[in-house]
Amino acid sequence: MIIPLYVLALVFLVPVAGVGIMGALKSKQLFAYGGAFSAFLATAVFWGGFALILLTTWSMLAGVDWTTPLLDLSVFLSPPV
Amino acid sequence: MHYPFLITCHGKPETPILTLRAHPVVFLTGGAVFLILFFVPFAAAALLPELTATLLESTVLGTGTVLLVSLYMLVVLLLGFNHFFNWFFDIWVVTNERIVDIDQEGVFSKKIGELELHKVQDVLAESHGVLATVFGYGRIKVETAGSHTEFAFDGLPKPYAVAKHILELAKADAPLHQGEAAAQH
Repeated sequence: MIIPLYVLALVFLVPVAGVGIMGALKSKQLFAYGGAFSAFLATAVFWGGFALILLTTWSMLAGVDWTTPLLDLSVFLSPPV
Repeated sequence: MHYPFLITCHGKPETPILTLRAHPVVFLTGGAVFLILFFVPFAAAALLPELTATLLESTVLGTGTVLLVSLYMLVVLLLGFNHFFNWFFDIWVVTNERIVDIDQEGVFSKKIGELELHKVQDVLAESHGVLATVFGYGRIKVETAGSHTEFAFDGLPKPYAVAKHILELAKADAPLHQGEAAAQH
């Protein structure tokens, strides 16, 4: 049994979604408070940074063969000698 | 700004007079830590170029490293945003009746305490340290006589002026509650 590299990307997406959800909840509360400039600036920095990090990651991983084996678990499945 | 906690007192709606938040320098000194943490991977890549190149050459290790560093930076970004969030929502609202202390602890936890102005007995303002002296912020502590209730706020801008203002408001509010005090005795 071979676990492909894209499993790593799928595992990565879980905490990224968590960061996105937490960021969205905080942004919503800041927005509900009223138009303070510092709140707008902090929200813009957060989402700008969030997008920049993900875009950089995306561009750095361009061309990666996601079917490359990450782990080969077949050794555990083979019958004992 | 919304003040959903305001009440009606003496037949009139309470009026917010001061909204107090810690000095921006207090936020920035904490925020600098997150800024440094954010640039740690760049510094590591610059200091260890050979190791970085070796890691990135390998498909599995390179992908893993990029994803891990990316996740690290996202988490630092979120913690920095959380630091701003806590600073922004940690406020005192002084009205003509009460001091309302709103203590934000993350997204899902908020604590609201109140202290009635006519019960205020003592207001202490103090400023310690180089940054506090240069930027004019400090700690303010409000005490009541009977219940030993104590409210404190650190990093408040112009603590002495705020203390004076609270004492003036307390003095102005006290005569309106003399009847209540007499009834209790």
